[in-house]
Amino acid sequence: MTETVKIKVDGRELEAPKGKLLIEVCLENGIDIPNFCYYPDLTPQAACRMCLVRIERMPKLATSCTVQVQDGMVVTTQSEEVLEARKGMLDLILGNHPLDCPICDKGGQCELQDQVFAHGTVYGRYEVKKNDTREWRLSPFIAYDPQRCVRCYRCIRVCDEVMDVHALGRIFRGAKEVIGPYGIDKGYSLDCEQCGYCVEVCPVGALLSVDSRFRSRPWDMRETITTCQHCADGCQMRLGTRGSQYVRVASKDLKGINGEFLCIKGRYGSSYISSEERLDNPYLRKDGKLVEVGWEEAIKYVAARLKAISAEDRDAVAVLGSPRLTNEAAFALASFARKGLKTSNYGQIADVDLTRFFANLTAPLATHAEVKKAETIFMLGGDPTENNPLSAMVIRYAVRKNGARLLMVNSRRTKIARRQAEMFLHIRRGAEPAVLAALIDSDENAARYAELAKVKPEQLRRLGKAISDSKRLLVVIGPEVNGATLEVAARFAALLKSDSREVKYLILPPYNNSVGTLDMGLRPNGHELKSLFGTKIKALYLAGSNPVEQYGNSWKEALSKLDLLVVADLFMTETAQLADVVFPVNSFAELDGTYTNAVGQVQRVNRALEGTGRTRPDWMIINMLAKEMGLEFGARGSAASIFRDIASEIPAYSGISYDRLRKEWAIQTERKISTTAEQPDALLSALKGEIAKIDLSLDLDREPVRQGSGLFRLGTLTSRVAVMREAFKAKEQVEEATGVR
Amino acid sequence: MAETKILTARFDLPNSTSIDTYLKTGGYQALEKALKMTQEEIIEEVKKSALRGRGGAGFPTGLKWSFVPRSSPKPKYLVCNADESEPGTCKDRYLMEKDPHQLIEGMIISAYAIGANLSFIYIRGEYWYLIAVLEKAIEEARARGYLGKNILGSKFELDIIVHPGAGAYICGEETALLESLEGKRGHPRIKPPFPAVVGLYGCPTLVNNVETLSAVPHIILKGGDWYRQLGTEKSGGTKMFSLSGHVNRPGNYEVRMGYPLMQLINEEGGGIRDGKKLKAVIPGGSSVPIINAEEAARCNLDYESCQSVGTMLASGGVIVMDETTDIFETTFNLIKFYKHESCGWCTPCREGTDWLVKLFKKIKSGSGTQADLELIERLCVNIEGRSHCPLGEAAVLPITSAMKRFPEDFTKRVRKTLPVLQPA
Repeated sequence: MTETVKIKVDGRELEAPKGKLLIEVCLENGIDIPNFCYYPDLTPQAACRMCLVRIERMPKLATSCTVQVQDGMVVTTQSEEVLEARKGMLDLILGNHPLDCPICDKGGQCELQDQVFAHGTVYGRYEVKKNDTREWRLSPFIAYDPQRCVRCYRCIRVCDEVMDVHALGRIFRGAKEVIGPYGIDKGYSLDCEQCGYCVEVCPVGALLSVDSRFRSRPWDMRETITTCQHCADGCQMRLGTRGSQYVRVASKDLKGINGEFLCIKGRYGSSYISSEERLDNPYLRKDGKLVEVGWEEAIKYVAARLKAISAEDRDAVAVLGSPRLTNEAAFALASFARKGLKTSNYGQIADVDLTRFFANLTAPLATHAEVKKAETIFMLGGDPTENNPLSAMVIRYAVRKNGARLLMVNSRRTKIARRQAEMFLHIRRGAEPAVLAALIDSDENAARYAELAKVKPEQLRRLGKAISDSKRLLVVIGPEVNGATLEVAARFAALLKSDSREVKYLILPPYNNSVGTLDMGLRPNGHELKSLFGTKIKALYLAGSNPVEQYGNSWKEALSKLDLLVVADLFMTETAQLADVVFPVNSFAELDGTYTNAVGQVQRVNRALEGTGRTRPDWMIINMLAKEMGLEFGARGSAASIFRDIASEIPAYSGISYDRLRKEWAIQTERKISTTAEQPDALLSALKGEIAKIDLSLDLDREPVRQGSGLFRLGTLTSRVAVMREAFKAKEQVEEATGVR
Repeated sequence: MAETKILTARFDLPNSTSIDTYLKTGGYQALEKALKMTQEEIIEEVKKSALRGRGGAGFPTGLKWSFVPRSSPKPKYLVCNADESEPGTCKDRYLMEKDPHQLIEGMIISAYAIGANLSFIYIRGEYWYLIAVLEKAIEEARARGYLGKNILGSKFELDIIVHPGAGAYICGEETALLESLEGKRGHPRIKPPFPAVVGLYGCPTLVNNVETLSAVPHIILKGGDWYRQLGTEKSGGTKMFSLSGHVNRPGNYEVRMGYPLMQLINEEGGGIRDGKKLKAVIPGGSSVPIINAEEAARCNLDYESCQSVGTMLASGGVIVMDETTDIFETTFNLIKFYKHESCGWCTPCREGTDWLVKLFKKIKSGSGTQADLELIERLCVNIEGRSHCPLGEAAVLPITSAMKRFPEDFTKRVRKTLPVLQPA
């Protein structure tokens, strides 16, 4: 292991691992060293020169962000010489920095302000004009004011190293240098994922988010740490609100599962909570038209109709939730259906049946922190860059920092396949079961599987060899792996596990609470139930889903066959427009609750806004309905008490409480892991049907996956985010008109 | 004493760039000798010669060579730094223009000494007309078996690639040069690691100046001791000086190390123009402190003597200024250059040079005050020793030295300021 060295800083003896950066040793030991260009995990720059210290036997002041500690090093960080040098740097930076702090969004959270405050008067008294440059709009999301820029290049490095997007660079030279995309002077805009990470790491107000600029001072805003509700990664974020309005999302200094990472949807995709389009009152269909009514009338109407339909046949009432609901809402919905309505027709609309995965799981799920330390990663399908950006980030991290081997099997040329994969098997669409079978079956059948997958037998052999060579294996399963293949994928680890090989899983489900709502008992049977609409099923209570937007006409037709459709949602969605009654619900920002992310971690959703008072959380609407109908299902009066029920009824959640979540942030639920020995033959025969479905007429999809194909897609929520709608609507129209995607 | 023509011996021969001329005058004999020596012997010979880097830093060449880890499994590279951009310096240009084979032979020997099989000449973009000269010479050398595989039957392999820069002064700094050569924006790397260990494409790389490499064949052929005795104890051999400014015969002159500066000006340079008096000399290219006539009289052209009068030998660009020169203007001209060439990477150099220019402009416009001069001094302190690479320092040295040695040229341009109330 690395040896420990002793160094002396300002007379204090410190121990540190040899080769660690001096600034990191100092900061960890509470010795403050000012810095701009240093940033944890990014390559050192030595550009800002704020971290200069005196090291004995070195001719000049040294940058502590580049010096690696060595035994016997004697460092001074507080002498007059050092302080004078820091003041000097501040003087130079402030020289051209506009002192527009009163209108700067960073004012109060600015690292430059903090440093100037800490170091007192700087001596500059330039009586010459500052350089002035105009502001650039780098993209619809990101604005750049070069004059405020301290040229620390954190932005460039997060873009290069963490995001692997490389959209930013240094343009021009010397005092004219700015950061930006190539061709900034020609008006080129940032060609990137628009994640806004560059804005987050900017120490000053040079890079700012367009959507939140000039809307609030940092201290004038209330910030609530909560869980993002876009994808199944479950990033933590700081939701800034002012009065009753959304202001921004930030992630600075967060220590959750994602650190400071957020994607475009995490950072910019939440402003719909303050959208003008939000429903504010229940709607009831009168004379064929939906009109606003009071809660009492709506609840009474629904209760009476449900009661009547249920009296004839309990199973004629169906309840469908959404993978976006909180655990509490999903649990209340499932309990209401099971214990209150006593219907067997309840669940959620989902494309992937993850129950088959969890029921057959043979290895634990890896947390994102564990993914970062992975040694070998085998990815069967999935495009996390576009759909699960945090998972993509940690996979990239494992490759970049630990040199993890990435073995990728995918029918599409995803970005990770192009950039990070050591081995990429570009397969025919739907041929995942053939690859899985090849890994299980003996070598003599390799040629047949290779033909099915449209790869070379040698490639399959190399993949098998790399997997069997691994010590710590992470198996990533994409959403295109479904049905029996998903089941076999879950059982696959049993064949690989050994004393010398640890195996873990990572799945990439599409929604924020795909896993949690499943745990709460909402089975993914929505598409099956749909076929019963109008026949067996007469009434549907639909919470938080918009199948008409997602699946189009087939659902529209099916829903129109119902006698009663009740929709609880945030907006008058395409589906809600068909409803007899629409209930306005609270957004994730207006309620307490929990989500369970893809890796099974439970995290809190914290109430950041009061809401208008006329919307209700989903579980509360259920309670009101049940009360009106005179049904008893164990209703609870708060999210916390519902969660207590969850903890006592669902084994994976036992022992978890809001109290613990407040202290531990993310608690991984324990999944049942099957320990029965698997026989390869059994797995192969399970795959037979799926292999037969492979369409051999399909050629390889050679088109690379375009940046933004998932991230920039406008859905029910994101189409209500003004900045995203404006940025991507035009693009979508062009794509539709030209057919080029 | 007069010129000692070692490097420049072939300059006056007709058709001096041709390999035939070169071979007729003892060319490639050093290579034949070197290929029979071991790598250690060659490095030892260079160490003995007391040859020091001619690019400006004056680092002992043999020592630099010995830093290259020859046992490393990675490929090694030799890069010839021909990005001659130091104002006042034009010696490398002549060496390449008049005697390219001397450089190529030096490169082959050096590459052999460190075990490199590929080498580059990173040539200043403005020297486009020299690229053809070099490439023709490389072609000739390849045709005669001095380059390519199995050079002179020794199984040693080497090729040379000429790569032009794009006009940035900073790319003469060896790590910025490597960045540029790799196709990236040229800004200096963090040191350590030094290029000898982690250089081009992360591999051990030796970067030497044109003049340094051109001296190598002579050292190998006639011995390190012979070369050393041409100069002083610590600065061996001869060096080319680019004499410019207010002299009667400006030009490149090759003299022994330790040659008196005034003798160069008065004998080789034919004295100050129009019989005027000497006012100041910049002896080593624009990046070194300026000295006055009295110091120039005590200064010999070697590293130690220059240091003793508070300046540096550096690249050997001797800029001579007579009594009519306004040192304020000289300094202003230089700082404008450094501001223009600052890469923008680090705070002190980027912002500092910009403010220096602004303050000089203010003073030149006549509205300068004593406080502005103090601010300039302060800025210099703030830049010196705190910048990422030597460019910041190079920008400051001419200013601080000029203000110290010729204060009246500055003070006469500014008004006295009333004392300003200082904040507590």
